[in-house]
Amino acid sequence: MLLALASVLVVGAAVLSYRSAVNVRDTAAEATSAQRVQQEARTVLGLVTDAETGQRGYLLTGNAAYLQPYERAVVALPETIERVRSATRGRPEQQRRVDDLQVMLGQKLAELKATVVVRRRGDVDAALGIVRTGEGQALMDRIREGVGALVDDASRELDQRREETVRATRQASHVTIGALVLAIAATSVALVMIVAEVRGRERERAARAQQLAREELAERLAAIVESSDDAIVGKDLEGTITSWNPGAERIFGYPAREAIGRPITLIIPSDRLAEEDLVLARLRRGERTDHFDTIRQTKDGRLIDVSVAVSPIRNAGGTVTGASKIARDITERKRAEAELKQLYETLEERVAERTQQLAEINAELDAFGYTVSHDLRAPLRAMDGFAKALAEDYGDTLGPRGRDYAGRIVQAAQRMDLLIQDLLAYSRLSREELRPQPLDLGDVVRDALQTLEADIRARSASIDVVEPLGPVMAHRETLRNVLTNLLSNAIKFVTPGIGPRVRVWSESRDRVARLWVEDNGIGIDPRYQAGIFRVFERLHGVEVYPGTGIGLAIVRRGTERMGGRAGVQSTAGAGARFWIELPAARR
Amino acid sequence: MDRERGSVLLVEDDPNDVALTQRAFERAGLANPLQIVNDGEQAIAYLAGEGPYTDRRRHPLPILVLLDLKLPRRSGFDVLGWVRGVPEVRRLPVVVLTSSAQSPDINRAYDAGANSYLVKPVAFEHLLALVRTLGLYWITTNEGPTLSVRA
Repeated sequence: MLLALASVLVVGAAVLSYRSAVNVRDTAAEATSAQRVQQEARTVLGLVTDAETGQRGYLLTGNAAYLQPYERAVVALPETIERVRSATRGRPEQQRRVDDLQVMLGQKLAELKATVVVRRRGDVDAALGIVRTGEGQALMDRIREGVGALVDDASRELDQRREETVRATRQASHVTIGALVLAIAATSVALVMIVAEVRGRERERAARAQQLAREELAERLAAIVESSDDAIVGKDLEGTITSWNPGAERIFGYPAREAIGRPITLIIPSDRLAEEDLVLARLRRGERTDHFDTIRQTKDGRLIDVSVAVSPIRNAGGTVTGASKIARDITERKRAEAELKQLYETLEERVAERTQQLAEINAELDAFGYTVSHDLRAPLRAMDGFAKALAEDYGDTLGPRGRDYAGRIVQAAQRMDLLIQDLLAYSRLSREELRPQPLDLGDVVRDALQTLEADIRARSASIDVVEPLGPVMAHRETLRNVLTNLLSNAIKFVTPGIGPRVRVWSESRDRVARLWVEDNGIGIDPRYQAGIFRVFERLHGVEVYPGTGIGLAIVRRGTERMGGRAGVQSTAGAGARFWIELPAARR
Repeated sequence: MDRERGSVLLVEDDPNDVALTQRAFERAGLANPLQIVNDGEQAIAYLAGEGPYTDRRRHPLPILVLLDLKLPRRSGFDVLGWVRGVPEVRRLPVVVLTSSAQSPDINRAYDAGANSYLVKPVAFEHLLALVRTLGLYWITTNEGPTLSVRA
């Protein structure tokens, strides 16, 4: 309805505006015709004045050229007068003035013509005489007045029209604005009403949707409560059970129909009843009780560990009307905790036990080493001793071959003895606790060289030690063992017939001292370099380079046990550079 | 040179080692008689003059004992302990001659009262050298104690 009103108002405003616009246009057209009257009237006056001026010139000079304006006026004036007349159409007063003006113009032209005719005849004086009568002059004045009146009329009319136009325009805009304001107001009212209507419908729809969602949510919540492993129990402020989910049935053993309506103390052991009073007091104050671990009693009398949280339930007015209580069976967790505690408490005991076991294992290993050194070497002594006795006492009978065999038995026994000694040394390295202390590397190198003295002399080896080698943190006996093996290797693996030349020097790196042992020996193919530090790894036959294959394993294990590293740089046939790194000692 | 040819008691269970030691004694030219027992019990019985060893003319108290540690029945440590606890023989020089070069054994032997600790070498010539040195030192050079004679 209002929208219809708005439409009417808009149309009305349009009509009014149109009409005002037409009005303005008409007024403007009238103003234009008044201006034309002024313009044409002035043209008339100009033509007559020009004609008179030309006539005077001709009268005085007799030159026909002066007559041109006159002749033009004769032709133009009637047309011009007609144009003035047509411009004044619809205004009788002005048309009368035009009529008067036409008469006067006729007279003026006649007067001018008369003088021109007399002058053409050559009678100058007569012509001038006519002029001097002042008749022409008077006529001319009247013509001026007539034109002036016309122009003034038009001016007045123009002013009037202008005023009218302004008024009409103002009126038109007022009307238009008013109409527009009305239209806008009506439209706004209509829009507001439409929006309100739409909103109302939306609210209704939303309310319906919300109701549906609430119902769905309630169903879902019910499903969650139903399927929860936890016990979810409702109670009122007196502590009477109002709801009881399957979780509660499972945990406490009471079916819902037995629990609902009974006091919550049903599941609370008698020594914990005070707890419930506390919870209820908090509830009445509207406070929730966060998870706390407690004990509850099941239908069959079992006491179980539970974690309970109690939250107030409020009605629509915000008043606390009851509580929801969520209880989780934590018997299992408690058991695990207790077990953990027990484990923790017995940790010391178990550590001691393990230590004892390790000590026993160590003792067993010691016993094994003892057995190995004792019992495995006894037969070797026999092999060696009796083979030698045989060769000495019965050498002649045995002959060269028999003596050779006896010699091989001796060699095998001695080699076995070396193996056992090295293995024992190696296993001791792995087991014994090494306490590194500051040592002078040069000292230990000299020590090792002394051990190898006989060997060095036998092979005519030259050993060049670049002192000082610096202090390191090491275990003296182990380091001596490591260095002896390194140096013995360096002089051993040379091409037969070549004098071994060994160079020993050290360099200090960031808190680490690296000792280099460089030889001019046969070198090691990079392929084999990783393997040579392993036990029993041999690259060469015992015949050419005797040894047990444990030396470099002792080098590596020994340095590692002292917190260092060992390695090699070499190419086959070009010597080898072995290195060991040890923690540097402060000077 | 051989301190009136006092005898040396060798406590050794390995017959090979016994034979080799005898050979080394011969080769070293030690004329002292070598008495031999094969386990700890026998060693104690011999020194106590009990059982088969009551006859001191056949089984005289030795001037030196060469004692292996790893022995059947009673170990060399037991023998040492027994020796140091019996007034009649407690001054008797006892040299441990064994295969083990393990430091715990060595220390334990000294703690038990050993006078010397020697490791049996594998090579016979080394054993020979050892026996020569042993004879030179413990039999020829060393002044032995007076052993109190049983009342």
